[in-house]
Formats: sequence, structure tokens, C-alpha cells
Amino acid sequence: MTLLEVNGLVVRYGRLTAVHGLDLTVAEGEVAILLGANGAGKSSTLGAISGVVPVAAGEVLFAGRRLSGRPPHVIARSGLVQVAEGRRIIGPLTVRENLELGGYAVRSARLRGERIRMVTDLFPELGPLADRPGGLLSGGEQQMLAIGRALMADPRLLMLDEPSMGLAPVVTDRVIDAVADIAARGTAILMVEQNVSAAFRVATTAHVMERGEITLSGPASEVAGSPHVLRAFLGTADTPQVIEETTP
Amino acid sequence: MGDYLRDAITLGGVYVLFSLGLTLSWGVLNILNLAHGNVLVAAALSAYLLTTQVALPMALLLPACMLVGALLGLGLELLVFRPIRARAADEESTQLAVLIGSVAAGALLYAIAERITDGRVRAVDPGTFTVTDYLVAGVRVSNLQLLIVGVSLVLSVLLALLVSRTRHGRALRAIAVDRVTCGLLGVPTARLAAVTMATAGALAGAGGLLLALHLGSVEASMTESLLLKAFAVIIIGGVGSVGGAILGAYLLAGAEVFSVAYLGSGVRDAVVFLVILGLLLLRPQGLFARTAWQRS
Amino acid sequence: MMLAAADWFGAGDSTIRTALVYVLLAYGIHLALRTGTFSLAAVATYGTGAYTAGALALDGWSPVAAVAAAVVQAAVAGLVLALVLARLRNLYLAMATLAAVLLVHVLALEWESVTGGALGLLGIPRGVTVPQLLVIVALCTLAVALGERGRTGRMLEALRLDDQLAASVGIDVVRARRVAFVLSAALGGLAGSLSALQFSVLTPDEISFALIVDVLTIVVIGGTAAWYGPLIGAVALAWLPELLRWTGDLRPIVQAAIVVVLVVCAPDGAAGLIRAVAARLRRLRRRENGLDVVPAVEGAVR
Ligand SMILES: Nc1ncnc2c1ncn2[C@@H]1O[C@H](COP(=O)(O)OP(=O)(O)OP(=O)(O)O)[C@@H](O)[C@H]1O
Ligand SMILES: [Mg+2]
Repeated sequence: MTLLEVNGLVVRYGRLTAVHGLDLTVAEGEVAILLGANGAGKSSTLGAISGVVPVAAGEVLFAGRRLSGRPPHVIARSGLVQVAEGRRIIGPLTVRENLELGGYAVRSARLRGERIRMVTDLFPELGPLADRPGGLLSGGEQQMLAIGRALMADPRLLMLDEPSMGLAPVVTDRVIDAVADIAARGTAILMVEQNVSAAFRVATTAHVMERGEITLSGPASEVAGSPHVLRAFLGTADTPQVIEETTP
Repeated sequence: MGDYLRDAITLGGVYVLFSLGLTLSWGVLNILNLAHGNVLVAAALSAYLLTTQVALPMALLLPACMLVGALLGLGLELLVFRPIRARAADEESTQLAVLIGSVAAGALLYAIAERITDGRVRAVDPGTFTVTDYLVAGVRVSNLQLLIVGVSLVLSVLLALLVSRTRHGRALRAIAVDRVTCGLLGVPTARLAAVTMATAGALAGAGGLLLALHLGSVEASMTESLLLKAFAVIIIGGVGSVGGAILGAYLLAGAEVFSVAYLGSGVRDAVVFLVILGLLLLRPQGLFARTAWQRS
Repeated sequence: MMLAAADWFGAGDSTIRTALVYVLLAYGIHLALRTGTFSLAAVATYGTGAYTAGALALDGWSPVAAVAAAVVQAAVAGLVLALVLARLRNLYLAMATLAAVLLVHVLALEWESVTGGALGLLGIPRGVTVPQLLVIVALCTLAVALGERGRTGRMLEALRLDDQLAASVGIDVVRARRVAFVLSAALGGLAGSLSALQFSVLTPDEISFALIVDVLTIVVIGGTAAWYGPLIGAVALAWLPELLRWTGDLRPIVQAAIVVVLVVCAPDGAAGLIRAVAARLRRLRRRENGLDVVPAVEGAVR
């Protein structure tokens, strides 16, 4: 069943159009990855879906409800949570407080406690760090915290923006494995990732983005071999664009 | 000695009530609200207007003044600060635009206050409240002084608990660092901003009433000197720190009272400036700020 | 412009004098804002400059010498402030310079032997005529306008937008800011000294929160987008009382309300409006000539 449906999304910054007319769907249980060169508009797309970047045109439907135009906190509470680019840990708050913050919408302290336990099961590394200010954690620990914090809201769809950014290969594998674990529990994933080989390891579907548009979509195994992927990363703007319509 | 201590604690109480709101809105929302003093005056003025009509008991007068302050704080946020923030280009220019907006809004409140008082000093007498003195441990203390100390203590402890213990307080501390991320995590940042400004206003409202009773009068310009004191308090305590502001207020009041007692009244403002200047030079983040969470 | 100036002489003499002095003070604030700093140091040195010039003139100094001494004093005070407050930015700097203004007010009240205390300085010999004032304002305007062109203009723009960007194109950010700070303070001192030498009385009340409100009103009305902003703002501030005469007793409230509405609804002021209209006209003309190639980046920067 379709969980997220994006139709004709347009994002503008002043007179610069970063995303023009993007269509995208993510189904329940799916692990979708969004690939593309720097500046292709991937973060703008995620930002527009989660409401922190204004939607200039088009619409975002989540579980059948129209979310475009709603404020970010309403979108997050409806079960669509994003882990932003660069982790964005609240430095002065402790690890536990950061997790609690992710569960802001959860009124019951008992339920929040249960979720914290669930997160520390997934990321045992965080357990002993509970009372450490988040700003003091290593990059890998911060990424785990950022993902764990997003899980506190018990999302139906988790969006991740470059979770491997700045991480060593071993840590990247650890984080990507955790994403696979989360997906295995039934949470749908939409992930932007530059580390293509790591991303394809867990993906079921892949979308390639070039200059604000999706130029190729399909099952991960098919997309992986496509010359589009290479081209998207070389960012060669001059090659004539062949837009292929492939429905997943 | 006992008398000085009493005076310092009373003065500190007024400083606390005024500074808390200022440091809160700065720390959480990056708003240096220069209309804060005018909110205090407005609350004091409504106490004056109310008490000339009806003799209200303190148990009603205090909440009424806090309500006036809260509504004004809310109005500032909804009518001035939020629209300015909404078309923000970047954080820095927003801060400056909001600061200028607060000066303009403050000037408007000032003009209204001038009109209500007709530019004169107005006596405030609630009628239901007679100032009587008690002897506490050999020191003469009035019930008004006890009230000031009690109200500021209760309100500041409540605020400190709210900020450090509750999930809303946690969200406030997080908003101060990264508003966008808080939105992504389901925190209603706009609503919490409004609540913050209303809280700051309510504290100023309580301060306004108590200051008016303490002085026995109100006038439109009664907060200009208070603003400077609040700056000193915020610098001592560190921006956004509730505990710091409480400590800073009492430290400053103590320094003022004792230096006036032993060095003469001319040094009063000099002490304040020395504090501001010295700290700005040596420790602009405040005496009590912890920066240990930042990785180098 | 000429028409406005002609009309202007019809207004009260002291209105003109005040407006002209305010133009200079507003340029002091404008200069700081153009480099992306909100500093009220110019308002503080307006106060010290006024008292310096006033006291010296009372001691028998010639107007030129008194003004020169006040400007030097203000520049030095500005340099000291710039060094002391070097680490502060944004709201911290705003607060610190605001504290400096309040300090000057307190000094004026307390340091009676020099300032005359609450009564102020009385009987300061008048030493500046309106035509002289006009020449000074014209020269300062010209200097600011020239400073916004070419290399210095681009430097100011870079400083305003982004320190790192400015540093990366070879601008010594610390030094540039310090120079702007000192110039801003000197302009404040100039404005203050000229004010003291025109109105024979100088009291501490002149350097108070109300002065800050006046200056910011000029900034709000005129805007900071271009050199003519403060000019428009000062003229408007001088004219407002006349324009709002019909509101009678309510005039201060109406005037303050107008400023609030402008801050919220027209943040770029008159200068911003003029610039926007000019840009649109240029684009229209280009389109007529068939040259509509608008670089996409332009929108992203504005
Ligand atoms: N806040 C902004 N203001 C102006 N332009 C922006 C803003 N954010 C992004 N852009 C521009 O929009 C385009 C798309 O940016 P976006 O961040 O979405 O790309 P991306 O695919 O996430 O790139 P990266 O891989 O580098 O993260 C870029 O040209 C960028 O310069
Ligand atoms: Mg990105």
C-alpha cells in the first residue's frame, strides 16, 4: 500500500528552482533510496516533504492525508519523521534528553521510557552515554543518536539525509545495518545517500535525481546497473537528458 | 547589616522578576526584547487603573497584572515578532529586525502610558493592603518586602523547575539551540514561542505590580534604569539561564546596596557599569555558563 | 529634491536644524548596519560629542575647534569601544552599545562639574548656521554615497552578507569592522557637537532612550538599502508631527503605531522600495529590448 505520495513537487529559493515537478511514491515496508549529485535537490525534496522548506507547487500525501502546507511538527506527529542532514544533535542536552525530545509528542513518561529502551537495544553504544551532553559524542554516536531520536516518535516512514556523511567505512556499515534493522521491523525508509554501494545493500527501490527531477526509478537491482547512476554522480549537465518513466 | 541584607534581597526580588523574562526570550527565541520594560510599566499602570476603580485584594490584583503582562507578551509575539520572523532572510538579520521591532513596539506602549498618566507620576494605593512592619530576627521587615521576596522566589523556582524538569522545558532549551530540528521532531515551535513570550510578560507583570507598590507610584519611564540592571544580571548569569539570572539578580542587588552603604550613593550606577564592562571583557558568556558540550 | 528643500525652509527653523543633525547621526547607525552590525555606539558618542563641544564652547573655544575636538574625542571613544567589544556580535553587541548609551546618560547626570548635572549646560554660544549645516550634511552624504560604489561598496556588501565570504575574498574583516565602527562613532560625535552648538541648552534627557527611538525611526522609514535612506528617513521624521497634526493629543501614539506597522510590513524602508521599483523598471526595459536573460543565481542571493 502506498504510504507517501509526492505529486509534481516544486521547490524554489528566490528565483532559483531547486526541484521542478518531482513525483515519488514510497510504499509500506519499502526501503527507497534517493541518489544524485551534489545540488541535485535531494535535501530540498526531503525538506519540502517534512515541511521545513516551503512547497512552491505540487502536493505531498501521507497515508492518504494531504500534508503539504502543514507546519513541520504536524507532519512529524502524523508519523513522517526526518533525520536531517548533519545529524543536528542538540549539543547542551544529554543523550537521554535528546531522546526524550524526540518523544516530545508522547505524553506518557512510561511510554517514552519504553521507547528509550527500544532505542538502546538497537544502539547499545548509546546506553553508557545516557548522561553525556550530545555535543560531546563522536560522529558515529551522534548519527545513532539522531536516528534513535527520530525513532522515539515511532514513525511509519523514516527519512534519512546522508546518514553516512563524514563517517568511517566501518561506522557507515554499522549505521546502514541499523537502517536495515529498522526497516525489518516494518518502518518504511526513504534515504538520501552518497555512499552508493552501502545504500544499494539495503535498498528495495532506487530513484535517481538530476537537476531537480527524477530521471530514473525502479527496483534497486535494476537501477544499480544503470549508466544513469554514474551520470548522476558525475553531474554531467551537458549530456542530453533521457527521461525514462519506470513505475516501481 | 541586617537592614542592608533585607534591602538587597528586596531589590534582588524586583530584579529577578524583570530579568527572568528578558533572559528567557533572549535565550530561547533570540529576541532581545527592548519593549520588556514597557510591558512591566503597562502592568503597573493597569494596577493603578484597577485600584482607582475597585479595591482588589492582592490575591486578585497579582494575577490580574500577570495576565496583562502575559497578554502583552503574547501580542508582541503574534503581531510584531512572528510576522518579522516569517519573512526572515537569515538568522542574523532577523534578530536585528526583531530588536528594532521591539524598540518600535516599546515606543508605542510608552506613548500610550504617557497618555494614560498624562506624563506625570501617579500614586498607586491598592487600598486593601496596608504596609505594616514586623521584626524578624532583629530586622524591621515590612509585609510588602516579604511579599516581593516571596512572589519572586515562588515564581523563579517554578520557572526553574519548568525549564529543567518538564518535557516542555526540555523543548524550550532545545529550541534555543536549533529551532528547525525541533520542528522536525514534532515540537510545536511557534506555539512554544508564544508561550515563552507570554510567560516573560507575566513575570514582568508581577514585577510591575510589586515595583509600583514598592515605590508607591508609577510613571511611563520607570524602567529605563531597570533595563541596564537587567543587562548586568543577564551578563552575570549567562543568556538564557534561569538559575544564572536568579543568582545574578541577587549578586547585583547585593553589590549595589553594600557599595552604596559603604561608599556613598554616587557609586551605585558605577557598580553596574563595572560589572557589565568587566564581564564583557573577561567572560561574555556569563559567570556560570558551561560550554563543555562543544567539541573543539 | 529641490522642491522638498524649498518647502522645508517653510518649516520651523529648529525643525530643520534637528533634522539635519539627525541625518548625520542616522548615517552613523547606517554605516554600522551596512557592515552587518547593529551598533548604537554613534548614539553614545552623540552624547559625549555634544557635551565635549558644549563644554569647550562655554570655555571660549571657537566653534570649529570645539567641533573638531568633539569629533576626535568621539573617534577615540569609538576605537576604545571597538577594541573592548571586539569579540561581541549581534545581540550582545547591540546590548553592550545600548548600555554605553545609558552610561553616557548617567554620566551626564552625575558628573556635575563638567556636565552641569540634571540642569545641563546653559548658554552655549551658538556657532553653526543652517547653510553651514547643509554643507556639512551634503559632504557627509556625498562621502557615504561614494563609499557605497565600487570597491568599498562591494566590500561593505560582503561584510554585511557573510564574514567568511568576506574573508575569503581577501577582506581583513576585523580591521574593516573596526574602521566602520570608528567612522560611525565619529559621525555620531559630529552630529552631537553640531547639535550642542545650535541649541544653547544641553540636558541629559537629550541622550536617552527617546533618542534611540528617533534614530531607529529614521532607519525604519528610510531603510538601509542605500545612502539616501537616512536622508529620506530624517526628513520624514521631521515632517511627521506636521503631517499628523490632525490627530491632536493622540499624535505620539499614532506616530509610534505607524512605525510599528512599517517595521512589520515594510522592513526595507523607502530606500528598499525605491531600489525594488528601479530594479523592476530595469528588468522591464531589458525585456523590451529582448534581452531577458536573468541569471538564476541572482534570485538566490537577494
Ligand atoms: N536555503 C537555500 N537557499 C538558497 N538556495 C538553496 C538553499 N538550499 C539549497 N539551495 C540550492 O538548491 C539546490 C539544491 O540543493 P539541495 O541541498 O537540495 O541539494 P542536494 O541534492 O541535497 O545536495 P547535496 O548532495 O550537496 O546535499 C542547490 O543549487 C542549492 O544551492
Ligand atoms: Mg543534501
